[in-house]
Amino acid sequence: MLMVKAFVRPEKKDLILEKLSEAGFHSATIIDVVGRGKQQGIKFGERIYDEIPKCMLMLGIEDKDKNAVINIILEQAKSGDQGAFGDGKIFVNHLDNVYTVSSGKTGL
Amino acid sequence: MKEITAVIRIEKIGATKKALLDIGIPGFTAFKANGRGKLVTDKTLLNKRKLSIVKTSPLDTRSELVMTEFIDGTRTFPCRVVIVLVADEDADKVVQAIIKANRTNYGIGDGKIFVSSFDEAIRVRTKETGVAAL
Repeated sequence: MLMVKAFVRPEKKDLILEKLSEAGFHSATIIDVVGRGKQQGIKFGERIYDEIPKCMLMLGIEDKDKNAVINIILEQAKSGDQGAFGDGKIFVNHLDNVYTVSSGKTGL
Repeated sequence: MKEITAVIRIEKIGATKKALLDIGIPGFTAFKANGRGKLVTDKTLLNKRKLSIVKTSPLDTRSELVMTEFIDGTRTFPCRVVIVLVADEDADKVVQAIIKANRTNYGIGDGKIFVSSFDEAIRVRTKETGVAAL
């Protein structure tokens, strides 16, 4: 099992969640975060804004769904045709185990 | 070393903190999040949960719809994320403690626990590494 952590623009969050749900990946945890990327934030004149609000989506998925989920996020999180700086990043981790609290069972 | 990420009900944070203290692993990180789980398709579970809420206050159609969406998982609702870092052999103990503290009779919406491995932990104050830093 894998944990996908996607950092995306907050305004793209709803669209991504909708598309994921349509594709059958309904579960998600959403956290508002701030951060900066390779471009070192946004510079306006003298001022540098390096705590840019983003949305972190956490999804637990099966190994075989990795490409499907990542493609949906990549497609929806992009702004414009070419994409732009600040569209976000996706990190994928291995999960050793997943438990559901209400049943105590393992697995997603 | 294992990282245990538990997504739990917001009102269960007290019980979880106590459970962790009881097994001797008091350290944790927690933050608020929004989330949704699997869509609940089991009508009997839904109705049971709905009835128990309606009992406390009567609802009109609009709020009933909203409530149903909250229960069956169409909407995202507030939850807590608790992260506990432990040595390999303690992982199961912690998971069981969190499950025990968070389980309710509702049968749905109690949360999920993700267990993953991580490579290194370093204590800032003493520069200890590995299990000693946890």
